[in-house]
Amino acid sequence: MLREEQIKSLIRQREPVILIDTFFKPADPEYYTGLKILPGNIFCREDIFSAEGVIEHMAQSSAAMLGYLAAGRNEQVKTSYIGEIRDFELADNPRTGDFLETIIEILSEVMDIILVKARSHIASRPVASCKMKLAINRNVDRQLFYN
Amino acid sequence: MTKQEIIERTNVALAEEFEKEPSLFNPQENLREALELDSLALVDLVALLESEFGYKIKGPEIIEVKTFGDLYEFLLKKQSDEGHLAS
Repeated sequence: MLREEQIKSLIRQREPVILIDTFFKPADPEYYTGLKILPGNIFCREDIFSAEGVIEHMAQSSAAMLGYLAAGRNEQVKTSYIGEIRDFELADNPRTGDFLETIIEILSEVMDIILVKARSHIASRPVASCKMKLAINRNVDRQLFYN
Repeated sequence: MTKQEIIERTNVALAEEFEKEPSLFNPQENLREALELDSLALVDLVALLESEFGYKIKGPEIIEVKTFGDLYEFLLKKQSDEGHLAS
């Protein structure tokens, strides 16, 4: 499992929009992330975490996975962009105090375009799912992942 | 699967995924033009073929596929290489 500072090295977002606080790789090709939704999260309205927040959490989870894979190859972490989001389904909005968990799975990869599936849940309750295409920009490096 | 079975199965899957008329597919036709595949959509093609046939397809392999005929031959070779009869 990665520490907070390690997670920060994998994504370009900074507070207050960092939406993952847990990352580990359970089994290829699936990667696990999590977020404890605290009071004051900017994606909450009253105590409801918005659909936009869930999507952003999924996107950051995907970016962290790509950063982790790059680090594993001793490459610099590249910036990635969302090319498409589809089949997004929201079964239930998370609430303040919930621990949102997400599993990212790579479905296919062609050159610098990667198709992932994201599935989010709280405990065993499904919350949301979608497919997301990510485009990696090989020309933009970020700070090195560190151990 | 025979080559004809691969062709029919491929065409049905492509028509459904990319909402095209399968009767328009022929071996000489340019795959990307006929299916209007941009670079983003190529991953959809790979995901579809992997799901449909159960083969693992690498990005550079699909880049080499130019026509429908190339695709049928590619899938036939995959079947042969992997000794895999997808059902």
